[in-house]
Amino acid sequence: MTKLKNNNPPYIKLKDNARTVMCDMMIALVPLYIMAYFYYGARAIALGIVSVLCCFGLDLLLSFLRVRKINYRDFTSIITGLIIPLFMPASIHYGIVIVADIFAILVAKQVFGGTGNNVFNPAAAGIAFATISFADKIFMYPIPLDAHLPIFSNEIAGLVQAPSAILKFGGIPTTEISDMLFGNFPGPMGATNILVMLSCFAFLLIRRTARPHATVAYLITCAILGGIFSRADMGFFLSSIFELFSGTLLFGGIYLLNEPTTVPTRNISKIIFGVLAGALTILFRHIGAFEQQFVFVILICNSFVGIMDYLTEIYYAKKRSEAKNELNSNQKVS
Amino acid sequence: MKLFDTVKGVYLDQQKEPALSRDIVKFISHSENIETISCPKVQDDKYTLNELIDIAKEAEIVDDHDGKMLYRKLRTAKKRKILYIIGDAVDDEPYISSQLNPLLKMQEEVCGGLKYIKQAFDNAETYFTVYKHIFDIETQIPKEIDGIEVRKVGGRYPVEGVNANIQTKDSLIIGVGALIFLYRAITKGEKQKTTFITVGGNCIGNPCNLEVSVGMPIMTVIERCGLAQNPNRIVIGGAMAGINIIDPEKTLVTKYTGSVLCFKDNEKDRNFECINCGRCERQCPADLNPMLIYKSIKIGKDKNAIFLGAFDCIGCGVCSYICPSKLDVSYEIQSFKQKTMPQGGTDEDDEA
Repeated sequence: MTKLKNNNPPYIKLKDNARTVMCDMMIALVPLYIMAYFYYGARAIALGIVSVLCCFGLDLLLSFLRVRKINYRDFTSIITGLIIPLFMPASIHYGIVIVADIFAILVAKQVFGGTGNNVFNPAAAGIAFATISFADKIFMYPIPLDAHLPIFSNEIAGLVQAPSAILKFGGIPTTEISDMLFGNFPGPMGATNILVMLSCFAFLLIRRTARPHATVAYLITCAILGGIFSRADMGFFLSSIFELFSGTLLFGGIYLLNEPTTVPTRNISKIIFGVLAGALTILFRHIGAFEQQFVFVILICNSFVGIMDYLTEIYYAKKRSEAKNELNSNQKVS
Repeated sequence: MKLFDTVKGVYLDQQKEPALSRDIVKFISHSENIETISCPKVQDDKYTLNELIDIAKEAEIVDDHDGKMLYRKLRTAKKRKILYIIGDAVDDEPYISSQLNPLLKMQEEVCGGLKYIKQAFDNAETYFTVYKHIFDIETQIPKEIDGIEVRKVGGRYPVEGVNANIQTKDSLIIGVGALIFLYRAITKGEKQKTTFITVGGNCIGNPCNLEVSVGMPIMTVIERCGLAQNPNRIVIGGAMAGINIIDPEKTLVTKYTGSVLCFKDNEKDRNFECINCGRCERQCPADLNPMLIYKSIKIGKDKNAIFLGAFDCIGCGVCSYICPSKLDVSYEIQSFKQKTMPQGGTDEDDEA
C-alpha cells in the first residue's frame, strides 16, 4: 500500500473543479467568434488566436519571473485574450491588439498579484489603454457581409462609423431594429449580435456560473435612464432601445460584470453595483469624450468594491449581534 | 432582508449503490468461549421496562444512532412520558447504508425488537424513518414493514436533515442495529459481539455491507472487499466529519465505527488559489462569508476574522465540499477557532 497522507474533513468534494468555472465562460464566448466569422471572414478568428497566444504565454512567463509555481491549468488569461478583440473592429491592426494584451496582463494583473488578487478587470484596462492611445483607429468599422478583409495585411479601406457615433452627434440612427437584433450593422466585432449574447447569458445562468442580480439591475437602470434622458427627439421607448442595443453596453454587462474576482460577492452589493454602473454609463454617454466608454465606467466601479464588501459585512454583523441579544434576553426571561 | 433569500445547504451526491441492494455478508472470527446471558422466561412474551434494561445492560448493546449504551437511554426514558418510538434508518451521508440495508434485509428481527420495546412503553405509536433524497437507489422501499409504517424525511445537508432527527420530549429514537441485537439477546441469549459497517469509496472493488466481529483490523476488512486501486486516504466514521487513519493494520473495528471508506483523488487539482467565485457564501447556513474569513486568517489579521463572524461557524463543512479550487476552508476556520477562542473559566471568558 502506498504511503497514506494526513487530510482534513470533509473528505469528499463535489466533482466540479476550477476548470469547470473557467471553461463555462470560454464556451459562452465561442459563439460570438462564429458569428464574427460569418460576417467578417477569417480575419476575426486570426485576431482571436493571436490574442489568446499572446496573453497565455505572457502570463506563464511573468509567473516564472516572479518565482511562483506555474499552473498550466489556469485559464483566466485565455478568457482575457478572448474578450479583448471582441471590443474592437474586425479591421484593426494586429499591433494594437498585442499592445492591449501586454498592458492588460502586465500592469492590471501581474503587478497586483496574479490570478485571484487583481483589483481591476484586466480586459477593461487593456481596452482603455488602446482607446486612449489609438482613438482614431478604434472607432472605424467595416460593413458586414460585404467587407472582403485580408487575413494578415493591415491596410484596409472603406470603413464607416457605427450608430453610437450618430447618437453622439444628436441624430437618430437609420438602422432597422431587426437588423440590430441579428448583428447586421457596423460595430465592434462581438458586441453587435444581441440575440446570441442573450442566449449565452441564459446558458451562464443555467450553469450557475453567473448570477442575475448585477446584470439585470444594470440593464433596468440603463433602460429607464436612457429613455428619460434621450439624446435626440425620439420618445421614451425608441430611445431606450437604441441606447441598449448600440455600443458595448450589453456585451460589457454580461461578460465584464460577471467576472468573479472584481465584483462584490453578496447579492445586495451586486444590485447596488449594477445600479451604480448603469447610472454612470448613461452620464458618460452624455458628457464623455468618446462614443463608447463602458470600460472606463467599470474601472471606476471596480475601485469601490472593497468599500461595498466592508459595509455589507457591517450590516450582517449587526444583524447577528441583534439576534444573539434577543436570544439571551429570551433565555433570561423564561 | 428576505427579498432574494434562498434555502441554504446542499444536496450531497449519495453514491450508495451497489452496496445498498446487496445482501449483508457475515465476516466473523470464531472464538473459543461462547458467552451467553441469562434471560428470564415470561408469559405471553411481554417484558417490563426494568427487565429490558437488565437484558440490555448484560448484553452490552450500543445504539448506533448516537453512540450511547442502550440501557442508559431506556433508563432516562423511564422518567418521561413516551408517546412515539422511532426506529431510525436515516442514512443521509454519502456511501453509507449500514442502517437502511439491515432494515430491508432482516425485517423479522428488526420488527421483533421494536415490538418488545413497544409493549414495555404501554403501546406507544411506532414508525421507521428513512431518507428521501437518494436518487440512484435500485430497490424500492416499502410503505410499511410488518404492519409498522415507514416515513420518509428529507432536507438539505446540514440544515433540515439534522432537524428532522432530534429527540423531543415525548419521543424516543433507537437505531435499527440496536433493535436487531436486542431481539437476538431475548430469543437466543447472545451478547453483542459484532457490528454493521459499510465498506465503500472509489477504490473498493466490491462495496457492500458487512457484519464484522469487534476487534478485527481494518486492513482485513478492506482486503475482504478487494481493492481496485491504491487509495490516498482511508476514513472511518463518515465522509463529512469522520476520522482519517494512517495505519490500517493496527486500527481495529469497534462498535462505534459505522463505515470504512477509501478514496483516491487527482493531485494536480490542488494547485489553485481562491478565485472569488462566491459559491461558499451562497450556501453557508449561518449567513457568513467564508471566503473573506479564510483570506483574513491566511494573512494573519485575527481581529478582522473575528469581526466577520469566525466564532459563529457551526463546522458543517459545506464550504469545503463545494469549493471548486479544493481549498480546506472549513478546517482552517475551525483550527483558528480552537487556537483563539477564550476558554471557559478563565479571565478572558468574563470579558467575552
